[in-house]
Amino acid sequence: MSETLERVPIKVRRHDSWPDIPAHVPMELVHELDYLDENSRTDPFSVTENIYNELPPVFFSPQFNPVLYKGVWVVTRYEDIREVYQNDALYSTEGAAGFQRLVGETFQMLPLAADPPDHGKYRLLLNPWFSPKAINVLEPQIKGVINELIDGFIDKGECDVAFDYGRIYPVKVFLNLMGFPFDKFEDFLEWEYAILHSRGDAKKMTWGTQGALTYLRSFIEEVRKSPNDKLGSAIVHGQIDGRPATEDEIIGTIFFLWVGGLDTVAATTSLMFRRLAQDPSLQQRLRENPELVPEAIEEFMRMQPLVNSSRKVKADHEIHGVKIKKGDHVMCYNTAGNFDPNEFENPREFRLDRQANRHFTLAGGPHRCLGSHLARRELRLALSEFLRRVPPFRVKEGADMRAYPGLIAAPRLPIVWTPA
Amino acid sequence: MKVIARKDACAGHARCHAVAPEVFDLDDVGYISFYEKEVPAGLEAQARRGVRACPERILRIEGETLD
Repeated sequence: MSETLERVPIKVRRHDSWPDIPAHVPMELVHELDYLDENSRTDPFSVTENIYNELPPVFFSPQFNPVLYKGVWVVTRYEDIREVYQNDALYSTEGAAGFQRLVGETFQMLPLAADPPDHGKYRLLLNPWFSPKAINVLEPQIKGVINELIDGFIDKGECDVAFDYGRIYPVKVFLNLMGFPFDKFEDFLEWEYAILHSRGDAKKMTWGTQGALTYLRSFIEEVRKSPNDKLGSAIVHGQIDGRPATEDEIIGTIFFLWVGGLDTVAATTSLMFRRLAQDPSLQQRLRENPELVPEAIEEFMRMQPLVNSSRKVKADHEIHGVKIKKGDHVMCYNTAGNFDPNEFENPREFRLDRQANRHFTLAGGPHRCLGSHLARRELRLALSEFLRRVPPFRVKEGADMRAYPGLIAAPRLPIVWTPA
Repeated sequence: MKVIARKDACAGHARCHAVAPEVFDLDDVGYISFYEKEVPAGLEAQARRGVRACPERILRIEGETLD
């Protein structure tokens, strides 16, 4: 899959007149990183392929995040990303993902926005629901959801694998895990897309946050009165550190799971099928060797990092000789770090024989993605069941191949096959 | 052969367990369950793969350095 013709310099612009650049940031380190732009490349993430040649290992991007910062330090090297994730004494999650502040709320997203040791108390309540063992119990249900969707389109010889498959199965699994009613499906996705897919549009984000919080508060009241055996109820009636969870802890935990649980797996699924539909030999190899599917999932995740989380700096220090000040934010730029040639040999190649695949798509350190085992299992089943049942497929002629190298991913992906 | 784990720094990726389930026992919520463990005979190669798989680099084989 040569992409020589598509090779263009990474899309960054330097500005000498940005407002709001803090005084300690040298102008030569200011680079706007517009990494969310859509493109039609075979590998939409290849937009960062020249980042190591063209940019310093740490630079300052003056991008606006309506709830966190007006600019952020960006680290692109794998080892630096690992350090930021792991060193919670220096890098805090304070305020992280604080969309609720758009509507004047003061609670924190939990467990994410809590630093150790408090963080561990919140994880303790949730970890048993997301452990590899707990996911084993969920597996038959996940398989059922997936196969029901496949039943719906297998005889038609085509489907929109992003919209009619990837978008739906993770949400069905999540609604059931939490105990949310299935009729909230479309509302949830509409609110969630407004929060996470509107590229910093504060008005849309505010609308989505308001809608979600109003609903979630009524949900909490309901399960407070009538407990059940689902995770939502376990949180509402949960114990933190030997005492009942407070109102803020309950809404903070439920809203955080809600934001995180709806579309990361969907986005990964759409990009995974986008690659497979364009690569018949990879498809065939996985059909002939289904035992390679778990390796393939790791490689899909490495090459399709969706989230670049940031941390708040707790003390003045230096990264590669650059002065970073207390209160600054640092972003772990997985969109580059997962392709660091010092960690991954031939990083832009999709390989099923990597000796180690220690990507940080699911973050690292104490805040390692709570749902990582659920996500891996969902992706594995979504791929293996689809390959088991659906004949070789390709992209439908005339399909719009634009995709985003991030959470928006490929919202539509029509594919076709010849029904058996 | 002995595996050494910095258990308190385990973040629960469970990648070691995914590649070498017989070497890397997890606790009930999916974190590494030991500080050190004798590798069962015949599982040495698997153990090394498991050590290499850890994104946090908290695992090592006694007397060996990470790649």
